[in-house]
Amino acid sequence: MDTIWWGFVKALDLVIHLDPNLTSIIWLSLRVSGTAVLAAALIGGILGVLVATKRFPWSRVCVIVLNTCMGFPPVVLGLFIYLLISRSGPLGFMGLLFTPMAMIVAQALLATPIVAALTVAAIRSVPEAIKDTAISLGATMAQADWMVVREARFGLMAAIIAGFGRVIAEVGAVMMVGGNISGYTRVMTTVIALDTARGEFELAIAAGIILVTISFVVNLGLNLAQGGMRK
Amino acid sequence: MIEVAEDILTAVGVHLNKGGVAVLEDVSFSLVSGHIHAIIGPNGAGKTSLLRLIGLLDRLDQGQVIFGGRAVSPDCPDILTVRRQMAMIHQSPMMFNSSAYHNVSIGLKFRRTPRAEIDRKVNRAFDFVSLNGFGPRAARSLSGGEAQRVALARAIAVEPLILLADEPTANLDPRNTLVIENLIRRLNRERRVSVVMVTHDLGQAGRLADEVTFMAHGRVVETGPADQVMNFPRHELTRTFLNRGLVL
Repeated sequence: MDTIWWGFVKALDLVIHLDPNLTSIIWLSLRVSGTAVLAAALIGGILGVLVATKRFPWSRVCVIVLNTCMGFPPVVLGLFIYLLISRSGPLGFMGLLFTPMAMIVAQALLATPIVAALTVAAIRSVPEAIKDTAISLGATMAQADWMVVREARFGLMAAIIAGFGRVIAEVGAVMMVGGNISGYTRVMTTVIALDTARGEFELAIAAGIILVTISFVVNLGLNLAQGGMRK
Repeated sequence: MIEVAEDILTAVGVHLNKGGVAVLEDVSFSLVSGHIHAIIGPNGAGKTSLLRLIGLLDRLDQGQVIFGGRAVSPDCPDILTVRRQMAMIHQSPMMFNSSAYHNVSIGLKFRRTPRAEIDRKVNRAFDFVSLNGFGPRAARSLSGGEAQRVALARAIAVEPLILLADEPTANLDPRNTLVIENLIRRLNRERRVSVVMVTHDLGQAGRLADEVTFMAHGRVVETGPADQVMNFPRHELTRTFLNRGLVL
């Protein structure tokens, strides 16, 4: 019990005094996950909008594939990326292994199907009458599709938040392709895993507190934004 | 001088199948320019399907819709120009999740109308439906009657030649029903907008329409001047429906 208690006390001390090691880890985590989610929002968002609004053969298969990819095991993805970017891999010449860029790629690949699948679900939940109403008011097909996407905006924001939630809390893939190098590729989740294994809990607990706080703040922001937009 | 009534919109020999079931069979219909034409009939008669076809929202399987003297369909190259001369209101007004102003202005924004003109036309439309000052209100917080008036203002703002109204008062109380009826009548008389209205309310058809078409089982049973169809129906099915609201 003492270990947990002192772990929390020391962790709070690190947080309150903005320990440089902790802040650099937080900053890298936010930078990696933020960039990955931006990329996923762009790619997954566009993919989701296209699948949801355009009629084409195999669109149903696309949705099934996206839904399947949502649950793709991060360590398996990490393994594939590792094999691709390792020195002997086909993309080894790019020198990406054990760099923040490799972590961004891994996280973006994890978040893209989540954003895309949830975007499809959000857009398909918009009543068909919205599109009909837009068309009957003289919209072009593109304008009508845009109105549908606009109506799904809260769902789209939730999709991006869900993608962010997935990647900021992810440990397996970033550990494999980032290497958990102190001061370079060490992020909150990997420091929690490493320091717990070492029995050094204060930094792990501090990172855990920050991780949970970030998740809370992001969701609170989403909730406030949705409330504001609905007024 | 005798004014010759001219058809602004015609459907000829229209067939429509949905899921292998014939929804419309050999339906013909014409709307006289400047008139109100009510389509009445029991549930499942094909009234809304016909309205959607003439509004060019759906594709027909056979037949023609003629507008401005030529056949039109959702696939014709200038479909947008044709559609932009019509506007539609529905039984449950589908409000976009934004302000009432945005809802009323949206058709003009689709047409890339200059902002000053949008303001002028939107204010005029709000004024027409007596909802001045409602612009900033959240459209989805409006009551049923207010929402239908906003939907009507949204349709009016784009200055259509034809208004297609799908049971516009079905969900409204008697007071709001009268308000909407008066607005449709004024729109027709003051702005010469031709109206096709699907309604279950026989009294409403009698009060508003110049012509009435009675449909049952996907076919037109009887069509003609409102007074004739409502008071001196020729077909037995029409008589049964008008007397008991039933078609067997």
